[in-house]
Amino acid sequence: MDADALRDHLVAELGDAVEPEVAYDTLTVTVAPEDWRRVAELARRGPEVACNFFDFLCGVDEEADGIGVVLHVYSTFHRHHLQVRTVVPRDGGHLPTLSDLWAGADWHERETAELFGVGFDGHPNLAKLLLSEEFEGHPLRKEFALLTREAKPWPGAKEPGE
Amino acid sequence: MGLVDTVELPQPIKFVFNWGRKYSLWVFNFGLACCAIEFIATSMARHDFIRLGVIPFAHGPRQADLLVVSGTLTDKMAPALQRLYQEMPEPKYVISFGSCSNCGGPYWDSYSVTKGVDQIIPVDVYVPGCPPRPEALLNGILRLQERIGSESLRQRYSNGNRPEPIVVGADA
Amino acid sequence: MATELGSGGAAFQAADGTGVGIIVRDKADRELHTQDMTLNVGPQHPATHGVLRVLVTLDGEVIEDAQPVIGYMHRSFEKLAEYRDYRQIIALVNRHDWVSSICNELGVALVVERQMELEVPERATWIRMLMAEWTRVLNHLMFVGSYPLELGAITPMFYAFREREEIQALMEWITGGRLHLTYCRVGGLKQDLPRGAIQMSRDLVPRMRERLKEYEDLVLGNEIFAARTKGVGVLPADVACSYGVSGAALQAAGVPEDSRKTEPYLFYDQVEFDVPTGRNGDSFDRFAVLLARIKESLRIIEQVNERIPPGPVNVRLPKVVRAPEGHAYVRTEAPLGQLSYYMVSHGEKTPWRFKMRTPSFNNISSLPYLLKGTLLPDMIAVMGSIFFIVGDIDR
Repeated sequence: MDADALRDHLVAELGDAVEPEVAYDTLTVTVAPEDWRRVAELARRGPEVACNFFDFLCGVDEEADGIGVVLHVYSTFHRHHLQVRTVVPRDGGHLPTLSDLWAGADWHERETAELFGVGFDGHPNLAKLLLSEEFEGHPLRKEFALLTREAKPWPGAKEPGE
Repeated sequence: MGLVDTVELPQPIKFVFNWGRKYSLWVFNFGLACCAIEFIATSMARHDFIRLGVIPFAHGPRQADLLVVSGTLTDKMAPALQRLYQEMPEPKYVISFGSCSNCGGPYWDSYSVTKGVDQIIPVDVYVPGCPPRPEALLNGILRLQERIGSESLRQRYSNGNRPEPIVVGADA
Repeated sequence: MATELGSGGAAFQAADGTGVGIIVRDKADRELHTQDMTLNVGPQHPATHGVLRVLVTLDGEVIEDAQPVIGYMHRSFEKLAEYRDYRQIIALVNRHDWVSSICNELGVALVVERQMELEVPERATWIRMLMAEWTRVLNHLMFVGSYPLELGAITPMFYAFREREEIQALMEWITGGRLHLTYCRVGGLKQDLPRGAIQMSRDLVPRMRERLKEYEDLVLGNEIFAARTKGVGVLPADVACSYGVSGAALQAAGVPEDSRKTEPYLFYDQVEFDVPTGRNGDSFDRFAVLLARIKESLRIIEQVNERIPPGPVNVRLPKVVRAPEGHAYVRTEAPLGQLSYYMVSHGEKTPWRFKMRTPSFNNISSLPYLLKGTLLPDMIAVMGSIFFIVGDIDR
């Protein structure tokens, strides 16, 4: 199905829980955190959608609005992509886990949890994945400053963009 | 301790000892990242450092004399490097291969990269580049071998002052 | 506390809680206590391709559980990308899959061009394809050399590196670099092809082809190799898709999923090539698919060599390159699997968020499934056949 047909199908199934947007041939639906699990289950199990291939799950720092979480899946049967995004609050934001729907979500959720500080309820093991045990803070948040850049100026001749 | 590090050996014996040591360096591969690929390419048929006596694939740090750190050292990996360096018996030499292990390289502002392997272990030869050409590594090994050839083990162990590290390409 | 097991043994929990053992009875009906052992493989290990650590829980020689511990090469590409402009990101990003530099840069250039809606000149696109396919051959040759080495066959390593040196000589002639090429730019390429490059590329293809036959005879036809890899590490198609495994491992499981065919980018829809698939999804199939992929890449290179039109190779960009606000996604077929880039831009010189979905991350996350129940000596055969690069896992 192409992006427009998929969008119409999702709107028909889920009503106004989703806000679809088609940009550069990719369908992105924005949902509330409460509907995260429901939309993911439809994406996985709905026969018209059938997104069995797990692409990625990542966080995006939306500053004042919170921390956005983006899920991208693909269907090898229908050959279409689907992106689902939501926004959770900065402090204590959490979402239900998707690791029982797609096994690959396990590691991606661990990575998002340690880099952004988003919780995933029901995840079997939310330990640190990429960072060392003693690391403090959530590095990909915008308020996490790179200390080396604070301590000394950029040693190159020009700043980015010059 | 032994005889070698308390008594300045006469020149013929020192020559033979150093000659034996410099042409039989057993390398402990500490290939971390992209520079490890160039390190492997240097050991292969075209550039071949084995003909210089440097033999790769030491069975472990305890049987190695030379440590070539090639690639980025992260804070998570640093304790492992420290421990493996300490397991190597003296006299041991370290070549820092590539700009990531020299000074952090292109990741100079990263939160998880150690800015240079010399923050943890003492380095004898710096080979700059990203990645350096295999010929640069060969140059570094040759200059290290020259230095070993004229080394005095008594000086090395007694006064604790290490000589200035060699930087490949610095005097070009 | 013991519970009866069907085979006549009984399970017990050790007093310090460190694992479960099985009480077996020997011929004289005496109890033999066993306990699971946790073995640490890596992070510095000759056969783990870099700094990957696997915590293996063993019951005798059978692996009960294997947990990869990653992050020893985490260089924070995604955070660094937020501080670099679009030209600098290209130089940064060809270092995560460090044996295939052009294929990494290509995705970045494509995602920025998609967001800026830039038209890339035809000549640049054809040359990008040529470089991407040669880089794919370079990457696959690396694994053709190192996988048999881990299983004990030392010869293919030397042959593979001889081939790599010849292709790297071509890369050096065109771009000046051996390993990290930094040849793609937003809107095209850094510079045009030098004189003689196409002829060098044409001459190299038949030489590679006949050596590929040598590998097939040497390795695939070898009894020991077949015995060590047939039936070992079977990854079924539905599990592979659920983990997001892609590339040779997915194709060996029987799924013909290749971004160059299903969603052609560049001009892949104008050249003829097939997507090889395996039947059983075991390690032998993965290696056979790898060799077949090299053959297909050589086919593409042969066709591209004849089709490069004259023209410019880049567009004139403003002094400061800014991508408009919004987000874009691009999916490419890197040699190791599916490489996608997802970029969020707030209209500034640097991206707001640059997500790199690298193939090895998902491929390695399937290791616990693959290694459960295998024997310890098969662990190296399985791990090596999931072709990965540690920089690609940790970024």
